[in-house]
Amino acid sequence: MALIEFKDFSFSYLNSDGSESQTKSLDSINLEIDYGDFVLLCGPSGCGKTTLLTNLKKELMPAGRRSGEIKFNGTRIQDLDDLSSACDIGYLFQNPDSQIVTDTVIQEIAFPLENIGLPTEEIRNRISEIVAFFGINDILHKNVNELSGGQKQLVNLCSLLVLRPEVLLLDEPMSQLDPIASYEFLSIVRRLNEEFSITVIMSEHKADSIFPFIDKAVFLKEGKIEFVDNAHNICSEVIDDEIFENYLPVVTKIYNSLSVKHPSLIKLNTPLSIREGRRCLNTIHDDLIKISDGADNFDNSSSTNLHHTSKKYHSEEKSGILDKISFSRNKDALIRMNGIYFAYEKENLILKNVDFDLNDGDFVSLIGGNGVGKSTFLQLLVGILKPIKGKVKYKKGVRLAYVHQNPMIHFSKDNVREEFLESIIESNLLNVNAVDFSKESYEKLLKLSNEEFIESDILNSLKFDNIKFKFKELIEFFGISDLIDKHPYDCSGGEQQKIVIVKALLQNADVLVLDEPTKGLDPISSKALAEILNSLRDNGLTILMTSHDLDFVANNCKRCLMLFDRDIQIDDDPKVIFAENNFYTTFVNRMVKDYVPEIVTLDDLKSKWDLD
Amino acid sequence: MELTSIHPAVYLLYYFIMVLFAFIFSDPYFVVTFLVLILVLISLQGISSELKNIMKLFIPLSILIMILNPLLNRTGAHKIYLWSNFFITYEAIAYGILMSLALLIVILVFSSYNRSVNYQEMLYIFSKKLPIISMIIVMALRFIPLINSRAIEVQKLNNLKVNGIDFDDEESDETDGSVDSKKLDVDEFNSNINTDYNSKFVDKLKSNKRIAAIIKEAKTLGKIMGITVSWSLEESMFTAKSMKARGYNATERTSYLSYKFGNADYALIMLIAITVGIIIVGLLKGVGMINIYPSIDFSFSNLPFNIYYLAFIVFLLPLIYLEIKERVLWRN
Repeated sequence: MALIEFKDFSFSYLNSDGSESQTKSLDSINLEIDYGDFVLLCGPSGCGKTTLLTNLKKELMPAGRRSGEIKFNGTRIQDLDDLSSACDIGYLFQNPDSQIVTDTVIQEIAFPLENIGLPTEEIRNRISEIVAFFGINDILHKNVNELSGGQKQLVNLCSLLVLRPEVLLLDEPMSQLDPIASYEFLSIVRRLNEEFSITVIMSEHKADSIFPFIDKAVFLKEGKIEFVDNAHNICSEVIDDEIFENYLPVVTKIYNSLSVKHPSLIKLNTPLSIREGRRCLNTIHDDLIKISDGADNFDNSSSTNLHHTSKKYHSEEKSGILDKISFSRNKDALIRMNGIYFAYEKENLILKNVDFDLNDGDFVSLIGGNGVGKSTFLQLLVGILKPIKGKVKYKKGVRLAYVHQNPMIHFSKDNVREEFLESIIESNLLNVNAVDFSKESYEKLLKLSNEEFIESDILNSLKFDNIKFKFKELIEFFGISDLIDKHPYDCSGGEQQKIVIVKALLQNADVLVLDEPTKGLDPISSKALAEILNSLRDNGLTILMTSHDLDFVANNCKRCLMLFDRDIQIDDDPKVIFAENNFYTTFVNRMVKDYVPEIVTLDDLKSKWDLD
Repeated sequence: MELTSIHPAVYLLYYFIMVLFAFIFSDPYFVVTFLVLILVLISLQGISSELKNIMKLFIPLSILIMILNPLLNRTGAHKIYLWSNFFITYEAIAYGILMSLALLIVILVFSSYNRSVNYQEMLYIFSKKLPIISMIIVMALRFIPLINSRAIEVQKLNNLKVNGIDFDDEESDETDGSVDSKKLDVDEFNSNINTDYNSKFVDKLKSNKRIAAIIKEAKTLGKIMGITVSWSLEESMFTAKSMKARGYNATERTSYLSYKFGNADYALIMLIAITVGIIIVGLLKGVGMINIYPSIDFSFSNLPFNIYYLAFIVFLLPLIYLEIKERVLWRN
């Protein structure tokens, strides 16, 4: 008997007026999960991953109509008694911050044990055991505010594990963590699964590092299970699927493209990790050498040469870097930082003597480990924080728009429409375009229907300085016409991100400063965001963003800053940076380093090796 | 103290008696002794930054008490004429000084209590009797710093919006000014706030520059608070879910905290019982208290060298002794 059984399970939410929603959030789900399985849930935002997970937890079951049943250990979920449901099924949420209830680590770990009424002695035994296993002795008596995001999520996991659950439901647990913290978290989850046979059901967008050890992948789309199979098989099944192809590990994507040309690969097992992938490449070693070199000889201006020249250029630049700083810094820079020092506390300098020029039309990304001061750098640049020493100079008249890590804090109105109007009023665009605007016209705009609002003359007569779009085109370009009347909080993370960017553009900004816009986005939204940013840049907008997503950076940015040890360590084309790095680089680069070390993105690799 | 553990309930009892004594004793010898010993204790425990802040407030306050009491309170037998028929009384001065000293002692006692008993130990005392309240306290301790840090983030964004960026050259300031006059007021277009107050009074108020500035400030503050609160509410939904998911309310709560009664506790309680017994006997006989009004009955030559005074000193010594002993142990 399976541990968890979905039998023809369907679920639909209630609408806000209490009626039943017509669209089913989950549609006839049939799924069996065995003891000790590691299951990965994938699918675009809003496909029902969270709904599926919450339906497995009695306490979190959303209100709505369900048919069919879910059995846990042979009992229906609804019939589980309170205690065993709380203990046997652990649920971890996305945001590490919001699920912490108490203020010290030990108290947080003790919290569930106190809830189920264990005697003090037993509580202390269980805490000591879990603390030893996780090795978190050092932070046990710390205040939770002092922890990093990764540590917080670890504490949250501990707090579930003290209850000795049989199943862990993890709802995008790593979406808010940086890559290093993610690896750490993942390796612990894997250990729990392998060494204690705890069943894990995890939803996640960036599946590259999870795929190698899952037993089952479930691909959801619009509430239906599209594909379900083990990791090796599912990779070959979804090759041609437009959506789910994006969820496969890069290694598998490379293998799939290669195997069209090299049929010998098809006989091998689909590789899931870099290790397996390199082994596959080894079997066609000679061919690869040939196409890698061949392209070189064949086409002199190919990217390989470009790389060599750029490498040379790089070293030359290094020798002449002093001249560059003191004499030939770009006079036309939009923003120029000179000798910036910054610290929150006296003892702890975060930035030390940083110089930086932001030029017109740049698409710059800022990378670096957690806590290295990326957000601080951005906030200094836009003037939210004042440097302790040094000066930030702005070109006269430059308008900045800053998007915080958490888009939610940009919203203060009841619906998106008013948010947009607020930005327009603030932007002074109405004056510049000599539009007659009064309170009456404002109220009229509020009463218009969605389509009328988007097409209204007042808004469409506005001309932005940097982008060619009219208001209507802008809304349609971002694909947010349907959201106009929604409350901003009801939109998904990706949608909120888009709304804030539109708000920034409506303020007629020249420079768009984004803090971690790729955080928590599914691959498709991430692609869409990349397209949007690229075409905005082509329109003449200057963009500066921080990111942990190296693939995103390599694919889109033209200039990349790496912060390290309180200064900008590297300032170069991201492709050059990643090609030279060995560890801090993209999956593609790690995979093909032996053959074409200069390739860091999948698209480049495809054109290089002439794959489709 | 790291090397001696004293049960929080014992601490609570001890400090509670101290606060009572601070109010009861009025004999200057007792009061000064009390003050000196508590100062020694505090300096051994380490002066916290909170205490420093409180002292900044307290010192002017005590001076105020000392000055105002004689000016407002004319009762007392010993009159001191300052000029013509304006007088203050010796009793009122003495009372003012003793009052502010008593207040100082209470503050110091509380500060020392904070050092001795951390809030977790406090919670332990309450959690047995008032489990819900202690849970709420714990959650508040998590929530208040959180909401504070969120408010700071929101305020940062607001700064950007209000101040914009300051350009270096001075010309831009002028152009900014002219643009400003034409600029639409965002607050006019806000369906959340009713701005249709067209009374003359409001217009008049608004025309005053300072009041207008205050109104604007209040509005921005309201906006910041609004965003912070709705953000926090949104997040607390998850907190609630997470609590529920981890079995909150499933059965009666227990507590992981446990403190055992040890030898040190018994010894301290014995000491408290004996000394307080003696002190109470003394108090009943009138030792340690003086009459101030209507006529002060105290003379400095009347030294309080008796068993009651000794008991009072012994009562105040144990924590000082433990602190010193700890220092010696560390040094070894």
